[in-house]
Amino acid sequence: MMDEELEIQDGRTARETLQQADSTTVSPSPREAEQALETLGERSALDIFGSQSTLNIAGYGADRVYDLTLWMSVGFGVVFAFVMVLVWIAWARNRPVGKWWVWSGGIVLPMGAIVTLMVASTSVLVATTRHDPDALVIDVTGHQFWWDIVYDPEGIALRDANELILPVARPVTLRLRSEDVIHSFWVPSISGKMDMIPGRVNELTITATETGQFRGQCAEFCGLSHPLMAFEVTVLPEQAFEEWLTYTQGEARDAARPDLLAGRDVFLKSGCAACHEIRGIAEGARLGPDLTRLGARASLGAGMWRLNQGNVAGWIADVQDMKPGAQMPSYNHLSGPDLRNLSAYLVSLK
Amino acid sequence: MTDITSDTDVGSAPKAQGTAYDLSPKGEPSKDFEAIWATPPGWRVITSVSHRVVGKRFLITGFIFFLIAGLFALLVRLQLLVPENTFLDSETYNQLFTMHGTIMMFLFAIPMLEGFAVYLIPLMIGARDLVFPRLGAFGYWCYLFGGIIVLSSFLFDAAPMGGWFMYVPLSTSVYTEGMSADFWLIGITLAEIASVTAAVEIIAAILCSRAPGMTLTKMPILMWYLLATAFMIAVAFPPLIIGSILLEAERLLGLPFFDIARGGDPLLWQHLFWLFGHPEVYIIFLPAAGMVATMLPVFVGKPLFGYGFVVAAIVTMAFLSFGLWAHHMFATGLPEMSLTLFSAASTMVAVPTGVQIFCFIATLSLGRPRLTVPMMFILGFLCIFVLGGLTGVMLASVPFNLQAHDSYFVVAHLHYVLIGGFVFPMFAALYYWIPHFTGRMMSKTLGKWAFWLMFAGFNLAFFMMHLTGMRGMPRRIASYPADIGWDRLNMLSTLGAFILAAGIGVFIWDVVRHRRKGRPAGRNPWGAATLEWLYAPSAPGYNFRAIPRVTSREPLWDQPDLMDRPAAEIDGALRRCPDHRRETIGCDPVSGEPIQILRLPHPTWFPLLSASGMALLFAATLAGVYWLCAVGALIALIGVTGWVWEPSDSGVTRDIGLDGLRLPVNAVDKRSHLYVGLIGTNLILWALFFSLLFAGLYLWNTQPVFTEGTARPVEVFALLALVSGAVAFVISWMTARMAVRANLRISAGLNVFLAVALTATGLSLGCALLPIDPWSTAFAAVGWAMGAFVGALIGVGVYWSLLNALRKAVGAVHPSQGLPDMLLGSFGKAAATMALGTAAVFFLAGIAT
Amino acid sequence: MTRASLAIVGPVLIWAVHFSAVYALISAACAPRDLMGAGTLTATGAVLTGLAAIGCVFFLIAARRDRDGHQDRRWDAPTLSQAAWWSAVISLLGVFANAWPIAVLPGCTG
Repeated sequence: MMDEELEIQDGRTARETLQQADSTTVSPSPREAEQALETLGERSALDIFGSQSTLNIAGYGADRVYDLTLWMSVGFGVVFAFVMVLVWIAWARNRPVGKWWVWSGGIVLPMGAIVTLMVASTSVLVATTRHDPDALVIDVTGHQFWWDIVYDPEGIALRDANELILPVARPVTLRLRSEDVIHSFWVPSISGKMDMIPGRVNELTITATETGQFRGQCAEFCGLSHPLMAFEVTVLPEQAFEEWLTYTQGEARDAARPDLLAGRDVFLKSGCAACHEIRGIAEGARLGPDLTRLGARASLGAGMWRLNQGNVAGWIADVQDMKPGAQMPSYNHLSGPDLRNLSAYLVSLK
Repeated sequence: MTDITSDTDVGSAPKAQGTAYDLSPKGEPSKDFEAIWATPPGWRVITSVSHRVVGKRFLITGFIFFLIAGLFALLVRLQLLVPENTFLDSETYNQLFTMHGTIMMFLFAIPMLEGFAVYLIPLMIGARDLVFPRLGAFGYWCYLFGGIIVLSSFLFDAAPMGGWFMYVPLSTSVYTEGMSADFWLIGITLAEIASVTAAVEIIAAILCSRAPGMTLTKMPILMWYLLATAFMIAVAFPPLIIGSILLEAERLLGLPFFDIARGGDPLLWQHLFWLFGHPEVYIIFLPAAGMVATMLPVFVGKPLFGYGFVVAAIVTMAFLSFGLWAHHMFATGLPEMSLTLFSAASTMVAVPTGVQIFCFIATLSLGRPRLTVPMMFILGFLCIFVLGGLTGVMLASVPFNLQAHDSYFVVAHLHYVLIGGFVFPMFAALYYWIPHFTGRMMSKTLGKWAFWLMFAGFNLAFFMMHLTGMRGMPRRIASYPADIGWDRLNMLSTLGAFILAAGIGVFIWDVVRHRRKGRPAGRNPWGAATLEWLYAPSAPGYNFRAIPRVTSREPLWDQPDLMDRPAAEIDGALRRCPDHRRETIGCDPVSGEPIQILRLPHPTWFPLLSASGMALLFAATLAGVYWLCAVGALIALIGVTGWVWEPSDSGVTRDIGLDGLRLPVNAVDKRSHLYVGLIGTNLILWALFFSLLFAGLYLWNTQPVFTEGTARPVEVFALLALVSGAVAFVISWMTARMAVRANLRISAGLNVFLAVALTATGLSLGCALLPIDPWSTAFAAVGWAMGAFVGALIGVGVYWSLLNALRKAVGAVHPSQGLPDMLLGSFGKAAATMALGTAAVFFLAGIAT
Repeated sequence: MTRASLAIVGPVLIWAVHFSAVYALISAACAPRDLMGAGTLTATGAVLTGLAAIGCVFFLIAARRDRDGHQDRRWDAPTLSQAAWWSAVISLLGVFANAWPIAVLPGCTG
């Protein structure tokens, strides 16, 4: 039962991933890169056991913290057992123990643990927060309840939303902001979290060490639909990542069928473009997530639902039911055909 | 029935000293000792101010809130039973977890410990009541009304839903429309009044009303714990009170304290909140540990191991626990230097904790421990709390914290610490002291069932959460996806929560059952060493017919004369009751030797009246009916005036009937309970002042652009405030100095002068602020807040000075009854110093380029 | 006896002042207003830590002398000076913990 659940699609298990965390990453062949691009968006982290776990390591920060966690758990487990044994010994004996019990238990034991912990912890802190001037910069801005993402803001400034595509083995500096309330950016498999605070820019440098599909989630309570604010993280081989960047910079895929064309017209007529951008179709809007490659995403509604036409249609018609408190109104006045065409069009954007 | 009877009611009191006020005008000469101390019958019991009544009120109300918040927790756990559950919608879920945390922290844990403190302190230190019984009653009513306001939000469909720490900007009116956050801020602030009044009460009671001979180191160890806790409350609650007031002002008036567009800072709220919030955890833990340290020796049959070690651990812990508030903010992007400072300071708390835990363990080795029900809960405490403490040290590590923060790992940790560190000791204490409340023993069989259900259920529910958190589940999410590894762990946690609840159910059943069927508890049923068991439960309301001299830390074990005769026949002080007043012995804070007789109030309506006025004021603010606020304030003012108007008893001396001592009543002395209480009050005021100063400095330091853009105060008026503030300080100093021997006319004149000087200071500060628009920047708003705070202090000072002058004018005070002036002088000095500090800040801001 | 009681609070008050000073120094050096450099921070922090440590050691010695001096005289004195001594030890360790960030980190960001 358990093992079935652990199975993930490419045949590797979460356990194997975990074991491989320490092994050095081998640079993938061009064929692998191609394959990674082809399968992009096909599998959601929602279907992967452990995709959001700190124990399923796919990043430098998570790796270092995992070691720390392991050693602390073992060490403090021993301390706990030791103290409980002392309670039992003290209970059983009738002769008073010496003052040295309090000395060693109250001062020496905690101080030993504290000093060890501080040395280990500070060195991990310094190592995991080191800034890399050559890192790729990605701007991530939190909104109630979605993520706005801009790759290389000083260069190509490629805008996307609710899905973070990362290159493996390359440091990335995330510049974290918030447009409204405090959110917190957390991809447990890759690194620790960092808050997104209005009026500030917090930087977080991360390095993915494993390719694969992972899940991040807002960790700071941010209002009504806080539980529905997650995102997909896809770690690609370096070459595939570069190709993806190049490919995605272009305008949105053309509507090639009559129903898709009709859907595009619904998008333009119904006011969607007031908030959403589709590059090449309607540009400039920033209030809602960029939809240029919506169909290529692994999930819908900020990492919450599988991406398919039915869910997209349901979302448009009934946003407020699926995600209470979202800024977008429910478009339940759209006619059946309009809704069908619009959702077909949006899903075709890859 | 009331404090105040007419001056002509001189009764039959002996005329010994030859002065008019030698007589006790407030006694009830028609009543004997028992009747004087009797609780008012029927519904008039609400006028009772006795610590026994008020303490039980706190405990029962607190326990009811515990059950309500526990019910919310069960609903939360039901929602999380299965993934993608639709049992509750997000809004309800958010309301429930917010109210669960809020009620547990503010309306259960703190009031519960106050209840134990209020009930036990006088009994354990050999006093007949607390030194400020009316303050205790007033605090209770504020707590009750505040709690009702918070809970009533459900009726208006406006329950708070921003989490118990109400982070801004989510809780500002931009992102939380409606009144839900206002219910929280206003209700909790009203309830917090009970905490700060309890702090003053506890400090003064423990330091000033101990039995003859009870030196500091002969106090039961719980008194050290409560003393440290009270000082912590006095310093820790003010930042939250200031924070709440600033946030409410932002919501209500649009002042920009936390508004980034106008130079506010959301992190300022987090600093103020956690400056309170972290010490709060230790405020909850320390009294619980104190109760453990009280019960443990009883069941071992030997005194506590290392009293001196434990005292040192308590005192250092009280301080160290203030140095780690920012470890709740590790993920906010603080500089690494700060992170490391708070990380190191956080781990240091392990040292005094370790000392205490090892003293407890060492105590076990002293004799043959008895495995009673309270003892089982104590062992449960040791097990759970040690584990929670260790995960706490893990969380102090910054890199680990960045993974675990705001995940279920933290939920697991905080419940291990709070349930292990407070709820288990509290149940031990309830099993231990319920015979004292009811006179009957609880069932050992049912107690074992309750313990094992609670212990097993707790560990099942919360140990799993460590793993859930490590697997990446954030806290505060109403639903979660099915396939990423959280579902089974959550199901187990929910199962555990219900087992835990079943254990509490068994306890409640036993409470109901034992009232009729419990075995009557004889005198000292546990074989305890402390004075509260001197009388057979449930003891009479006056606690001690005569207050015995204490020569040991374990009086019931070491002083055979206490247990070899009926408790009412024990020799001691104040057996006679010549003035027909409630009285107890006042002592030197260090040596415990008697220095005065404390006159205590009889049942009165004034605390309830004052608290009702306060509640009306707060509720009307919430409802936005501002004329009603004025009515509430007026009622509160009338209540307080009636309360403080009572004729002074000082100047009388009486034979206390112990060692031939003849002591003054309510001595004019710096060791008197009133002066010590005032020092506690001043400490709270200073903490409020420094919280505001911190807010100003913080904004100045982190928002230089907005600070520079803020208009400056007028230097001339700031200078004027400096001068008049200095004058007010000198007059206050003279008031205090001349308190003992002044003649009435001069001292009344000084009072009026003080009122004038304080008014002048306030007006100058107001004028200095005039060119500044408080809506312009957060820094400007904090300047106005400081002005308003000093203005409020000055208002109190003026009211107090004029009241003192008036009382002299109408003859309510006699020459050499200097206590009111001594207190006024001390308060005046504090208020004037804070005004001077504010004026200096304004002056510097005015002249800075 | 009053002095002996206050000696329990003394060392930990030193800790409190030292903690506040270190926090203030770090805030001054690492916030937008940028009031001082890393060098000043380290130097001032070191001096303050030295002073605070000396203060704690002073209380430590005084507590030990107090205990020896008061042998068998009053029942309270040994307990109080024992508490004062432990308080001084814990405070001293606390002062070193406060100094830790300044000792190991070169500047505001590691």
